[in-house]
Amino acid sequence: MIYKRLILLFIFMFFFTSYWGCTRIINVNIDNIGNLPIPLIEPLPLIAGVYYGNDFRTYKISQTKDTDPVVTLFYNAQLGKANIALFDYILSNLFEKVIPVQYLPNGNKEIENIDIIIEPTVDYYNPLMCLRYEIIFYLPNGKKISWMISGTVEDAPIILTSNTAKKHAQIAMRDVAAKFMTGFCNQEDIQKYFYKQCNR
Amino acid sequence: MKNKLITISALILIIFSCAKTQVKDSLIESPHINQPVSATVLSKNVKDKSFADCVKKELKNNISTLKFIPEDKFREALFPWFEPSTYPKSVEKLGSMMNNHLVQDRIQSIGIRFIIFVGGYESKEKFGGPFIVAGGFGAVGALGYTSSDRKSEISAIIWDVKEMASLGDVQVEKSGSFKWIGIILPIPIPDFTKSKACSETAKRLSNCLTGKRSHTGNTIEDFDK
Repeated sequence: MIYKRLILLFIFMFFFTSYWGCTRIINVNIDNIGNLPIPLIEPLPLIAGVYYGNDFRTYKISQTKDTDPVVTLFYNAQLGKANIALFDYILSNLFEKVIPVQYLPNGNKEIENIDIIIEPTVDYYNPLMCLRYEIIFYLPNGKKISWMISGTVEDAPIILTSNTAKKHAQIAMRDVAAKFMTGFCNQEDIQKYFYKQCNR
Repeated sequence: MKNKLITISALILIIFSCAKTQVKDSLIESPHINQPVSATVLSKNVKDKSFADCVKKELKNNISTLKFIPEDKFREALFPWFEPSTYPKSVEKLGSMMNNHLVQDRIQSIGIRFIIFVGGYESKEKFGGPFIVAGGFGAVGALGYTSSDRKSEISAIIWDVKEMASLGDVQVEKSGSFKWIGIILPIPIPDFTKSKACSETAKRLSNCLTGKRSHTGNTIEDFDK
């Protein structure tokens, strides 16, 4: 008799939770980029200024995703620290000298003794899919160039947890680092303006 | 009873053995490997290395003189140049990359002779066919037949880093189906398309690397095996 009641209770709870829906909350705090190797590149003989905007430093996102009819995924992700770590790693290896700058160049205020200013921003982040940065380059001739780089995670995780989301973000960041370091001199305007430095 | 068992086993074997193979092969003969040389097998897909792993395992069995550098170690040593999104897509681009003395020195210090890129995918259709599993009063049984078409495709390309030349590429596609037969008990008959595609790919790569190719140039073959 008691077993029958337990079984009935279990069936009721199952349908009750299915009807109202299950929500999983994932908190993702990505504070480092994992262990990236010393890259096999020669630093370019350029002085680069880097500007990290407040949104970039403190980047966070909250989103709700209906992954299936029963489960709703709600994730909070923070990427600020890892963003800084990633671009410190890339730029310090790609250029001979990197100087942090406190403001971006405009007509009235130019920044001297710097060959190029770089401002990275997060364009898009989805723990299930990809991470995309927009890199803005400010050239000494006043020209501004934009370059979108995506770091992809090819197979979306079946079950997303904080640890898998962090691991996937780090894989995507490694992808971004590789693309940036190998593709910088292939950008048309960069190739034109810094031909000597890129082809020494 | 004995005859029934033999008939059922024969039917199962006939069903099990049906698989289609399609091969496109443009591998050329390479110098015989009489002394130990190093190679690395790189997966085109960073998230699913199972195809590269199974080809590497078969190659190890086939060629005793081939020493393998693990993919992770190779990629770490050559970062950022051989990541899945930055590896050279042709042997000509590999040549340009080798003009970079840092890359050249590192590859020479590792002692790699062959780089083998392997990619693959599997497709699975939904199960179809009448199949019933029922139970009651302490007993359970299955009746019917259901199957799901499966296809595994593996592609591989070999580069000889010493000669700065491509030894060609091969694509193997195996089609089959995963079956369930219900004769009181549910009997699974797996397709093994992936492992068969892997063996066929590794066999062809081995023949290329050991100079056992009986022909050169492009071939396209279809056969049931």
